[in-house]
Amino acid sequence: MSSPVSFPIVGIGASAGGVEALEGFFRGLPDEPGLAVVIVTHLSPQRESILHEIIARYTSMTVQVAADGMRVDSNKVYVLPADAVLSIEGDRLRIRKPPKSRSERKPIDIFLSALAANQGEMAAGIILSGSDSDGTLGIKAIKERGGLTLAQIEDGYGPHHTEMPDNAIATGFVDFAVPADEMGSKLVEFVRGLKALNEAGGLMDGGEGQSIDNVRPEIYNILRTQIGHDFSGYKSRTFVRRVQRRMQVTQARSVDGYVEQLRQEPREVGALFRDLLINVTNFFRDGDAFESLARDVMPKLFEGRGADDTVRIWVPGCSTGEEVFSIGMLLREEMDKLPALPRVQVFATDIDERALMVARAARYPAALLDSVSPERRSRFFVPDGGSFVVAKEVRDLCIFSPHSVIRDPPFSRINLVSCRNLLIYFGTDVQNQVIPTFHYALHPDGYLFLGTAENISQFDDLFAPVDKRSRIFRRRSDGPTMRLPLTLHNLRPGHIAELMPRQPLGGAALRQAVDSQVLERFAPPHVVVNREANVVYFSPKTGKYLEPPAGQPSRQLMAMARKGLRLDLRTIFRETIETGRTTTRDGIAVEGDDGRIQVIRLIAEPLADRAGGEPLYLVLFEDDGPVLSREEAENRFNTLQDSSAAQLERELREARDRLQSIVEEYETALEELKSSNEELVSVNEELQSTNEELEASKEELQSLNEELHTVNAELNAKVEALDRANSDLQNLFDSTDIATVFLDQDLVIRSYTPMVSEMFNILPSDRGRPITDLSSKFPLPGFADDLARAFRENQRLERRIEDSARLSHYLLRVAPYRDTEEKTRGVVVTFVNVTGMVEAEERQRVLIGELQHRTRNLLAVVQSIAQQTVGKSGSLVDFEDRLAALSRVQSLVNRLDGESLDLGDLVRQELEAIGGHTGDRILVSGPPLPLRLEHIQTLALVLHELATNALKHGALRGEEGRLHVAWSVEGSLPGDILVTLDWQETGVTMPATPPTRHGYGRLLIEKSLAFSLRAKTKLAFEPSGVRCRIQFPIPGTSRDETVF
Amino acid sequence: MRPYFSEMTRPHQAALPGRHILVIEDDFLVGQVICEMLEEEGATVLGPIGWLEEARAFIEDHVGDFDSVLLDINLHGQKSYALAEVLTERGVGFVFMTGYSGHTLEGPYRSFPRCEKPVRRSTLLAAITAASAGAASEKVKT
Repeated sequence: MSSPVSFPIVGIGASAGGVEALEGFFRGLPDEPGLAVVIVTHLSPQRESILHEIIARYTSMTVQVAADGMRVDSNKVYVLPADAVLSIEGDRLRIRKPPKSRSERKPIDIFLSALAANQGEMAAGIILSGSDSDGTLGIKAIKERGGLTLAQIEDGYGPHHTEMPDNAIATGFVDFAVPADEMGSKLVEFVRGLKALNEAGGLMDGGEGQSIDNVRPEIYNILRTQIGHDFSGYKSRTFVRRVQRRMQVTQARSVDGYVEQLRQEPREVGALFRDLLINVTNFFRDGDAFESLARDVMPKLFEGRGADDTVRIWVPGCSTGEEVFSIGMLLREEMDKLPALPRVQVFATDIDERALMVARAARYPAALLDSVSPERRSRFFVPDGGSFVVAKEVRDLCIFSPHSVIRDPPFSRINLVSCRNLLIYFGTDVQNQVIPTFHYALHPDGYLFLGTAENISQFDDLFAPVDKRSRIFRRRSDGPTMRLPLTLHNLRPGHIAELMPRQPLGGAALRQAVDSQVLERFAPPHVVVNREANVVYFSPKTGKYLEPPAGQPSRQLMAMARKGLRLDLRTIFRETIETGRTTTRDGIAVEGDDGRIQVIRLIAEPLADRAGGEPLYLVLFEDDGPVLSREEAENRFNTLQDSSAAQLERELREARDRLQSIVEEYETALEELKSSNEELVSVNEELQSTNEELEASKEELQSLNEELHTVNAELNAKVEALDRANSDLQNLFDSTDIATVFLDQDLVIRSYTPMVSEMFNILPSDRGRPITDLSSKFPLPGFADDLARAFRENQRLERRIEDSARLSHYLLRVAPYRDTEEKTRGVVVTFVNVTGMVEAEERQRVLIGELQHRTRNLLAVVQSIAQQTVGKSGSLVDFEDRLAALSRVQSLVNRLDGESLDLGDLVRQELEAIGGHTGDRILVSGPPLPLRLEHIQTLALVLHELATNALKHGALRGEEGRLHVAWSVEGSLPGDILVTLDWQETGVTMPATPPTRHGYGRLLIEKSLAFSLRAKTKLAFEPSGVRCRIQFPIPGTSRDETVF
Repeated sequence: MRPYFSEMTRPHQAALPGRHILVIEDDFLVGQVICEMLEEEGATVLGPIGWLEEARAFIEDHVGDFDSVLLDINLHGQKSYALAEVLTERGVGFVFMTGYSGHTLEGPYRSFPRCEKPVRRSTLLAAITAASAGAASEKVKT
């Protein structure tokens, strides 16, 4: 870090309404004030600021928008740019991007605390108009380092929003609360004062510092006599610095001049005292004391307390929260060691609502965290922009609420009261009220933790020291029971006006002494009491009329009054209170210890000269005549009154006695009511604190609620998508033919598709029952084993099962049900109906068998033809021709594929195969006749033989021959029919001898048809040509037959 | 008669002299081949018969005229297993002739001797020998 600059730098924090305030500020500032001004405002990060242009109108100094690394020069103005966090190192400005997270930032705190750390006494902080608590901590930091602090108060330039400057003023750390246009002159004086100090030879170690050192004891003395506080234990360096600051502010010319000022102006003593007490802001202030608190007290707080118990801690005067959170951190550290955590409540109270706002925000600039160890800093603070936020685990322990330790009833059953550096602000009388209050608030054996400069003074009967040096005390439970003082003085801490200096004994005191002596000797015995008849003052010689009552010491006048006196005393006292006038009663007889009677006159009157104070009353006991024995007194009464009067007197006395006992009973009841009331007031106080906390929580809940609404909307959308998916699935379930059932690990049915009802007797109510409880509609052998195996092997398995009763076949599939984590959570069982497939397979098997049969038969036929043709002097050509005929038949048959073939087609095909075409020479006629497969092969071969023969030797050989193929049918389908086919060749010149061809062809024609078709065949060689008649039956289709 | 395939080129001794064999086969051409083969081996051939009812009647009437039967399973679309039953009863050895593979036969008949078409001479002879032996042992048993 480069060295800080040698001129003052003024940091100005402004927010809403700041522009007018700035105008006022610059109007009051001379053109060359000899200092630099840095302006930090709350700017919307989106908006480009034109603030520097506006300011340039008000001042002749150069106005620049701050940039990172920019050097700070005297007599120049720097303005924070939009969307940035400003800091300072040496003579350079530093700019960082702010965190995007939240709008809640404290840029003024951040800059002012950085300025304080950097510039020390050369820093000045100004808070102008704004509505926030930003700047409060920054002002504290500057003040603590000895800088100058100012805040704006009402004038022509605002502030329109007083919250920010008021917060700063309320801390008590503002040197000057002045209107904006008067700030300039204060700053100029500040610059001049600094210069003077510098010229005198350095700020700290030079001549002036030296001379302050010399007068130190004298200043100590003044403070001790006027304030009653001894500063001689303070660090001298700090002390000298504070005195220098006061000298600057008061513009004292010399050290001696300032000491003189101190002597004459009690006000200045108060101001110096307050300055000396600055430095309250640190976390873990006085580290040693906190260490000993952590070591000695923290474990005791949790000792013997379980999860159902509560540890209650009260931090009165918590200010901006550093002390509270320090204790909170110690508590958390202690709780880390515990197995069971009791509920912990830290009630942090202050009368200053604004300081509480800072504390509740729990956001501190880095500069304030110097005294926090790195471990605690990383554990208990969350960095956010330039600030640090106290971790939620600590923040949640603390309950902040407005409360006055003096005015309001205290909390009760507290285990530790930590009240550091608050008592020093109070005068002795207030301290004397507050310490018993702590005693009242504390649990028996509770602890009290005070500041280093504080003590329990004369109340060592209430508290016993645990660690004297660290100011840790323990409540004595054997001490006197203190009644809670309900009506206390209305005194605010930090108000120096209340610190009245002690007046030395003067001439007036002498007169007072004489007066008192005269009074003691000649005045009648008397007491001074307040409204409640509690005695606040006894004159000498009251013993004759009053005696201490039995039981606890009491100042109650009525309780002390001797027999015979009480009733009259009460009567006239009440009358005086009610009328406000003097009341007198004569002839009251008081019975002394020795049984003698003294007749007295009682006078009660309000004490004069009590303007504004608590009303007090004077009660006088004036003797009337000498002391008499009982007889004398009675005689005296008797002479005055007759016997009937004496009788009445006696009755009256008896009535009085009764009244007396009733009054006593009433008083006892009243006492009880009072203590109940006190308890209630304390409880009420706590409830109020809790209520405050609840309000804050409610706000958090509201924002949380909004978030939840958003999340809920998202969830709704997801639920809708889920519903749709579910509905799709449901429809799939309902429409699928695949029976599917989902089982969990215990084979319990989770869901199933309707088709499952084909396998099992299942009802919707069976969901949740094990599937093994259901009966299946057909035997399912090994089903349980399948399920077990699927679980065991964690693999899908498939098996065919048959419902023999219904001729149905199923594919049973058992697959593991895997969840999203790939863990097996059950099984999915599916039954796929494969009956159609199984039947098709069976058909195919038969088909293949038939095909094979046909092929093999065909081969056997080929074998036969080969043997008959080639093996018996036939030619290879004949064989090939016959094979070709066979082949044609096969292709016909293949084309047929179940349909029948017409006889005409067969005839024509065979004729065409040898090159013959139907026309003039070849005539084919006959009705359509579907042929069966079994007929075709043999018939085709026979026709082939006839046609081949006709081509070689007959009608188709020459040009003249003619061929007529005709057939007729007897009977009709589907009954039995008889087919007659005539093959007639004409116009052929037959050889003289009939053909010798009795070979294979003829065998085929004559025998094969007869054999295969039960045909009758007649082959004749007539002179004009071959004639062949074939007759064969076709049995009706009603006959049982196979597919082929 | 002339042998016409390579195996026939070797001179051979008749394998079935004196045997009377009934051929039941619905295809004329196939029947021709079988009959010729059997005759070449010296057997007397009865048939061929192509129709189931005719065959049944023939067997009833001519029991004792034949010692073995070659039986086509498919006779004009009708299965001839009924004939096999009759023959088994009578203790006559028989050989199935079929275009079907073994596994397409009906269960109880798979164990009988069988020739698949087209028939090779050696296979046919071996089957007939086996059928005769089987029938003989059946007879012994009963």
